[in-house]
Amino acid sequence: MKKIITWFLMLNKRLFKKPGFIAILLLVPFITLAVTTATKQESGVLHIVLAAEGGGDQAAREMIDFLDKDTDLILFTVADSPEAAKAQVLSAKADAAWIFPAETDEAIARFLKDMDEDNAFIHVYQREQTTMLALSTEKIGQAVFPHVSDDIYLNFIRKNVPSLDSVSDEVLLDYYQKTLLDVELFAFDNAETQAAKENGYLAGPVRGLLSVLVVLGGLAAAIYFYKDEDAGTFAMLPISRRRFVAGVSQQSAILWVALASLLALFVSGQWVGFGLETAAMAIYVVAVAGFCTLLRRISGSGRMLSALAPVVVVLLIAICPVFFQQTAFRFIQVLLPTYYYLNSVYNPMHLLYMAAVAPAYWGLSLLAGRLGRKI
Amino acid sequence: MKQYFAAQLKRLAKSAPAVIILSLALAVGFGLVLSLISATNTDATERKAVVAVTGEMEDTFLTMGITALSDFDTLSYSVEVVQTDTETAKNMLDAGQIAAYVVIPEGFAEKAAYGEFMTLEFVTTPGATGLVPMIKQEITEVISTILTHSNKGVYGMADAIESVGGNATYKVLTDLSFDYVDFILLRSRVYSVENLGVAYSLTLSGYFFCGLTTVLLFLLGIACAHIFVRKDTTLGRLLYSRGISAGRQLLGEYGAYFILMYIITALIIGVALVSGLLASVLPVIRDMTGIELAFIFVKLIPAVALICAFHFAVFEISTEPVSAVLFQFLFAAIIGYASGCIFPVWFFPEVLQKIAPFTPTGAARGYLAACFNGEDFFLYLALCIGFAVLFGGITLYARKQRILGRKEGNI
Repeated sequence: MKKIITWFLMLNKRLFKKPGFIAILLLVPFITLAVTTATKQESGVLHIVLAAEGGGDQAAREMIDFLDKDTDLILFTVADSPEAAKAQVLSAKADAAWIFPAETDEAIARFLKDMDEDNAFIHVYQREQTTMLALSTEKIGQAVFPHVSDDIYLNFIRKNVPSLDSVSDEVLLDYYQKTLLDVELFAFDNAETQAAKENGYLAGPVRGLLSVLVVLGGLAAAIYFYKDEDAGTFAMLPISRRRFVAGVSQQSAILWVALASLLALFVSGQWVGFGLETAAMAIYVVAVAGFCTLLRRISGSGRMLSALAPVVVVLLIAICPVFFQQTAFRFIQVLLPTYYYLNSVYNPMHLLYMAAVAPAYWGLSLLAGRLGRKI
Repeated sequence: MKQYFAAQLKRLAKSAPAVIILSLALAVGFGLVLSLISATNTDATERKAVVAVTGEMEDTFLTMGITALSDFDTLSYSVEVVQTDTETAKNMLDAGQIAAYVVIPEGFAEKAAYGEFMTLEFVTTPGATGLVPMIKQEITEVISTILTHSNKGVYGMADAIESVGGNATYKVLTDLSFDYVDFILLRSRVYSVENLGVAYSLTLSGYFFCGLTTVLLFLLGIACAHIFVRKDTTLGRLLYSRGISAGRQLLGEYGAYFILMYIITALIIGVALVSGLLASVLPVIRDMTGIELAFIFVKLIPAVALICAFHFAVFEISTEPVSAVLFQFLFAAIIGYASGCIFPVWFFPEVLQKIAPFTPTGAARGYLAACFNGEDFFLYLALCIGFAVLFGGITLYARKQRILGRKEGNI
């Protein structure tokens, strides 16, 4: 036992003697904090410019004011003129421009006569048709509807309710306004963490990137071990002891990078809770250690493992829910430890799946050890 | 020095086949990411978000409403609505077959008829991206607004009729509701759309191609860490004692590495060109002549030079592969992400949009894009050359320090 501890301390000292490694451990939380802080400022997946012809009437200005509010997904800005708004779209500074007419109230009245598309009164300029832009135009409906709704109400009453002929438009509109109905129709599942709500869309991939970093820490340590093997650093040790050294040096790097990642999650506000975070990371470290050991034994040399490492990184980024949720390659996802870790934050059942998969990595790595490279 | 350069070429040639093959595999992986991103963000007609509606579905008006949403509403171009039970919807959500589901509680339709709206539960996978946040955050608000104001009209009319001693009949309330439904179904007619085209700017897919290629090339340094990262400076000192200065040593090594990276870059662009992928994501190249297309391969040189210089700086400063590999990933993935190589830079706040071009990853991405569309070409060219010189200077300084023994293996 004493020898194991001695080797463990020596191999960790080997890592910590390199200022570069310490710098990385410090950089991880720093860069994460910097990125998540910067992404909290005003931004949007889409940038839509609003403008009104001739400054617009009160209705146009009310619609523009309504839209010109912060949302996570759409950044609305207001241009001085329709020409300036269109220029921003042409120069790719904006995705679309919505131009409101000078006389919006009259335009609405004209439109409501037959609801013909020839009477469209808002002009949309966009660079190209995308699904996101198509969905964003629903916000036009949201801005326009309150102004259209009272017209539809009055028009209907004047045509179909003779008992209200003697009541003035102002009184009727009073009844409309006084009807207190603020419909919050939707409640959202509480599986979205508070951290995700506060940090928004852009900070989401940070956790995924940190989890990939942990895997890369293990692979990098394995490459380091192979370099030393090739240089004969551990030549005096028997194979069984070299296997132990390879494992401990790999696990040490994984552990320290995992701790740096946990600290990064904490300082950047991505932390979801001490219990869940530590349990998820602890199981992930064991799973990643098995995964990296398996890859180390399959690759058989530092050169192959170096070449394989970026492929593994890209696979993790593309297949696991780091940037995108996708299910097209579920059969590959279930083979990767990062998939379980990222899902375990929202669905703790994945902690159990990860705990079940970890021994499988170790089992396969033992098998690979028997069939090929012993270390 | 020529001999040293040739020796470096031979040294790299041993690893080159594995690196090139795996780089192409990497490129396929990125092609996969590109296709996933493009499918999520582009083309309004082929990729819809599927949302399931579950719960109490027996009311006629409710069923009519859902049918209208599925078949007539403009939202149906982007969202497909399916009806199923809650358990099946949960399983479908887990399996990724649907983006979200809505649960209609029992008694919803009955209470809605009297102006009381029960809450609908909207369930999606946490951390969902793509169309789902748009639907969840924006579309649900749109629906709530429309419902609020249309019901103000219906119940306002009922109150007005009662105030004059009348009785608001079911027919008159329903007729007004149908007037509102008419407008709701035709709401897209209030605006007309004009697509201005992208001219020589990049399409979204073209942008992603340039960004992901940049990240890929920066990550490729990981594949060569094993070859170049070393703490032993014996060879460097020996060469120095024979008159080959630190600068000339680096030039020999860098030259060989540059050739390898350039071959990989040219192969990736070449395969994308021949397969038609490049033309589909960068329509500007369809108008290019053969000479202009060939010249693109020449234009790649500054970007490759920058990336190689960055890799060399990391290799030289690190004396073991762990920090070299981790630093390259931190830079390529995290700084690359924040500088707009994965999500477009305009997604990010203005401060990051301003900083992005002045990061190595942002400069390389911007330059790659400028190779195709010419926008700010000389700015990005200057940035690429500037960064290449900067990293070259750092590498030279680090090598001098190491072979002259002032800081033995301790960087």
